[in-house]
Amino acid sequence: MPLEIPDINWSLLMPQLVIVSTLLIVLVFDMFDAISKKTLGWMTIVGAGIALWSSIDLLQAGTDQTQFNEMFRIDSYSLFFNIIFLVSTILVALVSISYLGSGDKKQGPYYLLILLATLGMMLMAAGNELIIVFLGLELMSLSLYVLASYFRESPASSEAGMKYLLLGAFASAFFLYGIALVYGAAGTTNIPEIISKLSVGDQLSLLSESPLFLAGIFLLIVGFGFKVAIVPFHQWAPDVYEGAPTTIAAFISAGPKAAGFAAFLTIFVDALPKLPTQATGVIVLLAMLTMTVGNVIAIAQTNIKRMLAYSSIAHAGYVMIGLAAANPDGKSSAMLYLFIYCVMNIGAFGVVIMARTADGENLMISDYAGLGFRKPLLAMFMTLMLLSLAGFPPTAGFVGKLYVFKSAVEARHYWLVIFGAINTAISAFYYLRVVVTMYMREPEEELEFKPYPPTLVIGLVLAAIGILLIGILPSLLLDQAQSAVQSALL
Amino acid sequence: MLIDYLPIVFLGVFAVLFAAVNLSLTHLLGPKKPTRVKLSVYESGVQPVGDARQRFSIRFDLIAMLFIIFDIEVVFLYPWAVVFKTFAENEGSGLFILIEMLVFIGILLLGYIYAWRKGGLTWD
Repeated sequence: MPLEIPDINWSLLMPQLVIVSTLLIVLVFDMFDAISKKTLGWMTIVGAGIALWSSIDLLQAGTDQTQFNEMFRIDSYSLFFNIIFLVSTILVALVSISYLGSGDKKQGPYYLLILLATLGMMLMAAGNELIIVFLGLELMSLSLYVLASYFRESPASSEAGMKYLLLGAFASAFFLYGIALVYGAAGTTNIPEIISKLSVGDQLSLLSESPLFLAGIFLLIVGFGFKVAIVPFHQWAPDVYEGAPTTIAAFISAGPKAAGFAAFLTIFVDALPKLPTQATGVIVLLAMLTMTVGNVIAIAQTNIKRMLAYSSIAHAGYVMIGLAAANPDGKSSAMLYLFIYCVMNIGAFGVVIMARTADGENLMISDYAGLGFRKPLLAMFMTLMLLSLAGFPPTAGFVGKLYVFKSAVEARHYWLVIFGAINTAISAFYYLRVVVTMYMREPEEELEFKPYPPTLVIGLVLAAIGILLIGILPSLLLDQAQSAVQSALL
Repeated sequence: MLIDYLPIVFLGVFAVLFAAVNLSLTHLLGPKKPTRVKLSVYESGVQPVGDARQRFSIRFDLIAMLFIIFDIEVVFLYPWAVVFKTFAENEGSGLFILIEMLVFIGILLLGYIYAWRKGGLTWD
């Protein structure tokens, strides 16, 4: 058998290559202790910035190609997700620099692991093949397990890492088993090929009803469901978010969730119309459950990190609406929603970091009493992020929800939209409760806050500008997302 | 089609029967003269000492992980060495895959030095 080297167009792989080289540079500098560890954070930001720039460049050039024998897809869809991941990475790195402290010798591997996780997410979004998706998933998850337990001295952090590792490894096994069954039934792991095998002409093929294939598909749903924390696979999320370092909680709730959905949408938006209607029913049911359980349990939380954890579960439910719609509009609105969600969620966690006193973080919602007038900047950021999470105009959260609901109406999932609307009302209660606590309650004791680190403020200002800009001019992003979906259809 | 698997069923049944018959026969017919040594746990001829449920140093974990990483490196090298000649016959592609492998080993070497510098190879 003659062997040939596949044609590799390196310029298309620029975003990934830049991240790999940044990773190696950070590794070398971390190794020799020659420079301050804070500089490593800046290197990460610069590297992710260059990768972001080259992603945008490729996106505007309208790239649509596959690489490595059709294993890797460089099109506007994967590039749009690259932008989500890289923006999240930059924001998290900005927030982290001051959070970890300059004296900490352990800052080096922190950025290394963040970059590795980012690379894994980019692989997941670009995967045209279930094996590549799995590879990216593992690269991302393994880095996150270590990051969750990064504060080794804190029992809560170790517990978070351990729980995440055990449950995550279990979910990966489900996912892998799903891939094996799908491969057994379809005879290929190439995603477009699997989807094309589901129909013959206008008719559904035998494959779409083969029990083996359906079992595989449902195992894939379980695997993805765990990674993006949809009910009933969400139990790990509150514990991990609470125990992990706050910056990492922000990171886990943003990028990896978007990455999980990137692969989820690639497979299911095209596959759902060709599967028996029960499959859509399952997705609709999961979306309803996720929204309701997430929002209702969030009401009962007194710890702000746990509240944000349940709120992020509920947001996964809103994205699932776009998935259940299973039309091009659903896909693009889910992409838009994920971008907005990542920015506002990292922002909200950033404010939690901002409210630090000398003896640690103030995580109880009651600690925020009276901050409205004592700490106007902090309270302003918090209010903006929470209003956006609740979906008030003119913030980005409103735009995101609007387009997701619109796509579901077009797909005639009226009940899903009604559920979503009721849930938005429920969620407004617990988001606004924090705002009310800040502005209308007197504090029980005077808390002495640490001065705000400049990098953290820069990160929050960027997030706030992003939220308002997208809220007022949604077409900036929506056009990109829609053209990304359109090009995938051609 | 299932009939093709009949020999496997026979093999299974025969294996179970063979073991069961032999074990029960020796149990029924064999003479029994137990001593303390005969009744003790069989540890491949070594005298059993202490409890098996000991705690191991966590450092073994690190060594095992490093071993696996560099073991996998070699696993990649073997197929590469096998196909190298086929590639080398083509113009230019031999150099390409040589450089590719050097990059791979280079990255692993960086990881090795990293583990070394960070004290991953020292026991204490």
